[in-house]
Amino acid sequence: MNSGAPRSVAPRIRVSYTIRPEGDPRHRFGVNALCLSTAPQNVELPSSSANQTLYTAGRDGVVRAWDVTQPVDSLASTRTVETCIQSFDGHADWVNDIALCPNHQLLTASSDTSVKLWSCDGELLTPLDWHSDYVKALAVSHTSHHAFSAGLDRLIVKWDLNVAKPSEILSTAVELKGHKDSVYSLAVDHSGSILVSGSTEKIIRVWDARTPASVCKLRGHTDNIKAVALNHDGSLCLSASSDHTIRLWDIRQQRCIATSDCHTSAIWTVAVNADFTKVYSAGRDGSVFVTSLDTFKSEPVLTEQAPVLRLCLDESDHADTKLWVATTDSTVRLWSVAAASTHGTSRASADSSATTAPPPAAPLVTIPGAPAIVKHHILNDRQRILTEDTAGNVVLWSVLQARMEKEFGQVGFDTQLAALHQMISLQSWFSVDSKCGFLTIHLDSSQCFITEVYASDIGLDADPEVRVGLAQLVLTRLFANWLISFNAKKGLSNALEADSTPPPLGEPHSPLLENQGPQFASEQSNGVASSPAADLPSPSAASVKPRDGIVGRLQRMASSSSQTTTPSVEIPSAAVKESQTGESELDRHELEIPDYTTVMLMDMSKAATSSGFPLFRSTCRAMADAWVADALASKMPQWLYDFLTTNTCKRELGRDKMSLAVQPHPQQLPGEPPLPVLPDPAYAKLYAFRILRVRRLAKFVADKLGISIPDGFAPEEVIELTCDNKAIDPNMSIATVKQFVWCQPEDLVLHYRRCPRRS
Amino acid sequence: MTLPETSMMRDEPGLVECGEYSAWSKQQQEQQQEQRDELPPPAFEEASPVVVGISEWSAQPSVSVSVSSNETTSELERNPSPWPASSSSPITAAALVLPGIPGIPGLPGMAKQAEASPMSMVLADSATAPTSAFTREASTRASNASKPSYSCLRPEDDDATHADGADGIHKAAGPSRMLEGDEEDENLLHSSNFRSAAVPKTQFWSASDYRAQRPRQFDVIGDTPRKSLKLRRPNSPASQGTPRPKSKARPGRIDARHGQSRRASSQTSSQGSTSRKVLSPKQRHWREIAHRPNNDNSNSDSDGHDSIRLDRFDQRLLADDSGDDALSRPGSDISEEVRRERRRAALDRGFDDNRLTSSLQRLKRPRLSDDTASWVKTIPDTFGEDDEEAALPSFLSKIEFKPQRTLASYFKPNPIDRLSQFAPPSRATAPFPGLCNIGNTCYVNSVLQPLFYTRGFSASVATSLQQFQLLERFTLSLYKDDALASEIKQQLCCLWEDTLAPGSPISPYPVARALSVLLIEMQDCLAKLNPSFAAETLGQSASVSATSSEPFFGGIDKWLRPSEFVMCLRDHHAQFSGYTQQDAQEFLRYILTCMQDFLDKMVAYVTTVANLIAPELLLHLRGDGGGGGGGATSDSVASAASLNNIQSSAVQTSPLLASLLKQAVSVFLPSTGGNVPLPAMSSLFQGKLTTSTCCFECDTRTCQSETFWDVSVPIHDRENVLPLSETLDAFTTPERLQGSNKYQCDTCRSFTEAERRILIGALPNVMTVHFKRFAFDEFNSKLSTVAALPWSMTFAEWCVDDCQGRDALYDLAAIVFHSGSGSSSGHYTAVVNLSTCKRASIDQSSFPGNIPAALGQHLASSQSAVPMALDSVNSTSAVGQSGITELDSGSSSAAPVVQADDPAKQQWALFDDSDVTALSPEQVTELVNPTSVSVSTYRPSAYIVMYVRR
Repeated sequence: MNSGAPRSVAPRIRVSYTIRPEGDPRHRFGVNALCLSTAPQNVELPSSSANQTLYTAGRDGVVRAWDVTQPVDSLASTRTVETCIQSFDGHADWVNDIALCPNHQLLTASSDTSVKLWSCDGELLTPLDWHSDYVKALAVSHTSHHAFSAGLDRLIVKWDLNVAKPSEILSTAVELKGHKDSVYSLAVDHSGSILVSGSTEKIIRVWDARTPASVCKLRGHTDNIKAVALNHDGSLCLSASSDHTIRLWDIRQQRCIATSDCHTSAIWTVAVNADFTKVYSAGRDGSVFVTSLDTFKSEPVLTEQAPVLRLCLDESDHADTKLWVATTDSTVRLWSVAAASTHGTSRASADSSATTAPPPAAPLVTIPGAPAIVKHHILNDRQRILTEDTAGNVVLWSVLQARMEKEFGQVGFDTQLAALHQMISLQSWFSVDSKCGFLTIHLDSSQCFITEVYASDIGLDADPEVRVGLAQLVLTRLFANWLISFNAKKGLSNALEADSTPPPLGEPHSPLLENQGPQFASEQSNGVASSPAADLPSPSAASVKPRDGIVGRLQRMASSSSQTTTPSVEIPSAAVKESQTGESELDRHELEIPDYTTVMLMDMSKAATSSGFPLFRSTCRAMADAWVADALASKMPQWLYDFLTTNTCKRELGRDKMSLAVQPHPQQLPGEPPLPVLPDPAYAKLYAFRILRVRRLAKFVADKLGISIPDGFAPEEVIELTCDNKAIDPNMSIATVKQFVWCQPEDLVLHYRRCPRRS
Repeated sequence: MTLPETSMMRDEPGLVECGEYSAWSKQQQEQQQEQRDELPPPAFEEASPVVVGISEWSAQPSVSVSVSSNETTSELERNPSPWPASSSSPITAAALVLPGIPGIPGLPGMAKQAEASPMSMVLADSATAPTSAFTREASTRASNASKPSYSCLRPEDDDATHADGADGIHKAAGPSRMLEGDEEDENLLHSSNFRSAAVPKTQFWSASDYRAQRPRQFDVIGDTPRKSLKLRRPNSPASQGTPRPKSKARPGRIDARHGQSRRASSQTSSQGSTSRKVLSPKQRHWREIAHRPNNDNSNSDSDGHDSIRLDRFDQRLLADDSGDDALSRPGSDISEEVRRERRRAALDRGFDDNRLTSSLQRLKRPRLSDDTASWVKTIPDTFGEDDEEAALPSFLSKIEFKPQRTLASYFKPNPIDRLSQFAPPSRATAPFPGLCNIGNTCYVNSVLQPLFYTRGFSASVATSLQQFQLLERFTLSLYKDDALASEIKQQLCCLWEDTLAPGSPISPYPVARALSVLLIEMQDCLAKLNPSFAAETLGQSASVSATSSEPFFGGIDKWLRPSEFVMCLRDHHAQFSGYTQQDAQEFLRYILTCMQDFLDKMVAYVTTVANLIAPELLLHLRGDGGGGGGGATSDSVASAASLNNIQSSAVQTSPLLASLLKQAVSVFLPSTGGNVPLPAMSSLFQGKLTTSTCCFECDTRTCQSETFWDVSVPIHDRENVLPLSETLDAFTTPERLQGSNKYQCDTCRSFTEAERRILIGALPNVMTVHFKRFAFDEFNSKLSTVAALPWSMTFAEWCVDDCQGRDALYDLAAIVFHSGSGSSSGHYTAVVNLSTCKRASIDQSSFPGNIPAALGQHLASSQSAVPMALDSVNSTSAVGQSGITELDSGSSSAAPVVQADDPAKQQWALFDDSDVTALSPEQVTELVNPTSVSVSTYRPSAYIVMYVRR
């Protein structure tokens, strides 16, 4: 680990990066968890003076804090909270649950299998990587300062928050084993002695949270138990299940004492008031019910349009009970449920519940979300992606530049797709997902290096014959800062670096947790690296010999490409020279990927989840930081390390080439002598790069036939190539011809003949 | 368990020399000369020079064929035209085998006349080529070769007991031949006669030139030669004078080009154990197979070899102990070959008129009875020569370690035990057609038998094929050269282009068509073996009703050789090519899919053509029926009578046309029994599975439906009996998608945990359950857990809630058993509940496309123009329409509802290739609901189970 070379890692580590607007202050997609901090007086709030802070955690992987302090005069109309006061951007997948801890800390659980502890001002205190599958639920006992996390790996892990340093929490993990199925809900009583958990095995397990040991099981539900709650002393348990029922359990008697079936669909969340007299429940059908725990009578409170993912009760104002509602659309709303609550509090009012209080007309507070991408399509050029979001906006994104390219507004996705159709055939070099509401591009080890294009085609100012690998280009851009930092650490002087890149931002950090910068919107470095300092390798200079900066790397890329060209395609050596003259241009292109782009290394060989386990996560900008750079170097897969440091691309031989036949056209132009077949029999079957232009092939044919191309004439003006009796655009690549003109699985056959002369 | 098909030997003419021929044949020759003097002159003597190896052929010492078929004779005389007369050929003589067309009313007189005067007709070689070179060469070879030479004769006095004993041994205590009575004796008689008279040389060849460019040794005009081969007992001088002792000294030559070569060689085993010198064609064949690249017969586990060894053992036993040849049953292979050739010709030829005859014949060909021949086999030389002296003991030791081979043997003592007691087993043989094993084809046989007895399956196949053929013929006879004819021909071409295209290995149509033909043959056979059963079960089928009224021509086959079908299967489907054991379930799925495609296309075609010819049919009805139209009444009998009138008047002009007309009418007009709806395979066998996936994240349930032919249920490896319900429980157990196998939920747009469950969404009429016994790992191991099958059950427990008819009761109809240790070895047998196919249980209203009704409408629309036809059509269509419903209600009510829970009242049969055995209720119970669990690898275990909706 501490040798110079990066450790040899599991074969399946891929590089992922996100394409999203900078800042991205709103939630995309559903909001999975809500947490209201209503104790403004007990802790100092460093970043804001908010009395009330709402923490929301969304499926976009970001936890945000909102100042929802009720203004004194805000009773009039709906208030919209536009901007968050803090953002915790460190998870690579859905955040499923959050919990406020004592000491003003925030615990988050994510589908990226990690639990993270944050300070409330957005600083990552420690990642708690223990689980091996999605972490679905958290529970924190404020009295005993213990936290519990559980998830799909059937484990409940108990964390001791009493330790001196957050980094030691990990060592306090205690596993509660016994679940035979995935755990979806957790609750712990105030004193931290009773823990209940609901799972897909349809029973509620009750644990002694102190020992910890299993106490009993509560049977009765017929489907997955999505939410549990305990009263203050842990004697009563409330559970909500996908079987459409809410059940109240007496834990001492170990039996169900009441059942409510007011819902007609799965119930996903409950919110119980502080004195355990009322429960608000909501779920898949979007309607919120309040149920009195005394009478177990239910009445509707309000109805959301989308399925409700989480409820959070705000009882700070005793006169006006309010309910935060988070749904699968990304907007969070605060509703006043005072009417229902006043009825519900007194037993007498239970009778009057028949007259259902009209649902509130408008929410008190709205925290709007941003639309999430729900549909995406990779265009033929393999460089752009067309997406459609929940609002119907169609947007074009550039993969190479990791930013939005064009916004089309609310037009038809398919019509736009058809309008953008290009007759280009390239091999796929990345995969994309939009599970977080924005695009995430995945580059999968050696497969990504295949696809090459001519540099001039992608706007690089280079010789028309210079070919550039798309993945190579992106990776070089993504890790430019790391390379600089890495080389700087080597002590290798390179003037280019100093010129082209800003000095590493922020002061150098010692690799201690408290020194990590905030993750979001901060001008400080955004390190998310998680390894302790001792684990950081110091790559030795002996193993790595970077010669020069990025431009040189690109040149070498080009020249290495030229070395591998087939005999039929010779790249003039002028390419290198020309690109040297165009350095500044290239530099401009180099920086096209925004430096807030998040880069992740995902370990795909960890089998527990389908989306991989995040090994490393950082922004491009933060990679300039030496500390982050070291962390990255320690996690970097060999294929990436080899590429970045020595520009060696492992790729499958031949996949970027195809075979084709070139034959004389049976019908020559009138008056022209028929062209002979190519002289060398070896030319009957050519093996050429897929992106070889037809123009170049025409020149090849002319050369082999001894036909001189007059000055001022392009090769295609002398030799015309046809496929399937159709003349071909000389700018097409042969792969394009095969896909769109030839349209057969067999080898492409092209015919050549003399071109009609220009008059 | 006969071994490979005859086609393999087609191209090696004259390679086999069997002893004792030439002398014998000389005598034969003389005898024939004598006969010829007495007999009427041959109708023709000619043969096409197309025949390959003609020099060899002409070098034959003699060609003598006795033709005793009455109808053949008459046909020859009537219709010699197909055979071009070019007497320049050196060919000596031909066995002219033209099938009678008993169904054609144009020929009744002839047929009767022929029947009345049975005669032996010998067409002898006028050239009488000397035995010359070939005989010499043969004897030289025979003397030089180290292999034993075969004697080709069988003692004149057939020792039935010996034959039976050997048979029993071979078949591992097969059904007793002794119990089969007169029929059997008659067969034996015939075969022995044949042996003495006609085995050596029977040549068929075609004078039609459509395959002239393709050398062939064996071609046939017209239809089945079987009856022609069923030779009468020849004149006693010939048979009795056959010098058996002499033959040993003078090895001769037997023409080995064709099917009968196998016979010839197999005949020899009685005397040849010490004098085998040459390769029999069979051996040659096996050697050839053994050297084929894709041949897996070298696998000693394969079923084929089991049987080979046993066969050899049998033969040795015979040779040593009995000295009698019970092996030979000539004719069946010849006719097999002929049939195959003819059918191929019919397939290839397209619209040749000859086809009319042959195809018609195909539907109603009587068969030569040939029972013992079912186990006639020869020894592959891979086993033969080396241990020539090894004799019994070593071979016995081999056998002792063999698994019990068949399901039949499960009930019977080990074959070894049978060595000591040559008494035939006292097991009743069920009168149902068996299917020969022609080389690891028990998977075919065991699947086809249950299918055949599935109500609606063979009827639909047969009917549709028959409709097609009749349509084809009818239209072609009507329109020689008009636009409509060409259009129909074009349609035909479109339909069969897959079939006819030379390089279409994927097309299912040849296989389906071959299967159709085979099924019709099976119907045919069943109708003869067991007319009452056939009438009950297949009575609605026009083909059977037509055939069952056929005059009865002697013996009855108790088995059929599906060689043509198997060959077609091997040719057209890569998976089943070669000679290895295949998975019965895969075959079942393939066959059902194949037939589905076939029937779909057929229905489409028949509909089209029926609409095309409807007016023309009317026209002919009117024109021909003018004289006989007076008797038109409104009942079907009268309409049938009027049809007869039509035909009789048509006979005067064109008997062929008349017959076609009759058949076309019988098929397309409902009242004449042809109105069997065409059940599609899908409505019979195809159900739907509903896969519902419930995401744990968003609780969204997604349902997908897919069709199934069978349900593959898992088998738990455990020691006690496993009820079928438990396997279905396991099949429908929810599957959790979790861990790295998460579900990609469309609603969540992420990978989530989910639960997936498969339930039956729609029940088919025939519910097929397949036990996943085989692990396709490196060992191809098998789970032999014993499954218990209820006699009747409902599948409601495993259906979705809104499944239609989820409470329907299903009866156990058939079980395909597998015994053996793995998927690539072992043996398949089938047990069929024959009672279920008597029960009218198929919902016929769900069947598509009633073509005759459409035609009837068409006919009825021109009512005024055609008074006679109108009447008949009107009545028939009316009766037909109501008749269907009556039939349905009547059959469902009238048919005795067998108590499915009581196996004692059911009729069960075990189909072990060519061996069909009636099972007692105890035996069935032991199989279906086994009480004792003796987990043995070789115990037959249920592999495919079929339940039929009651």
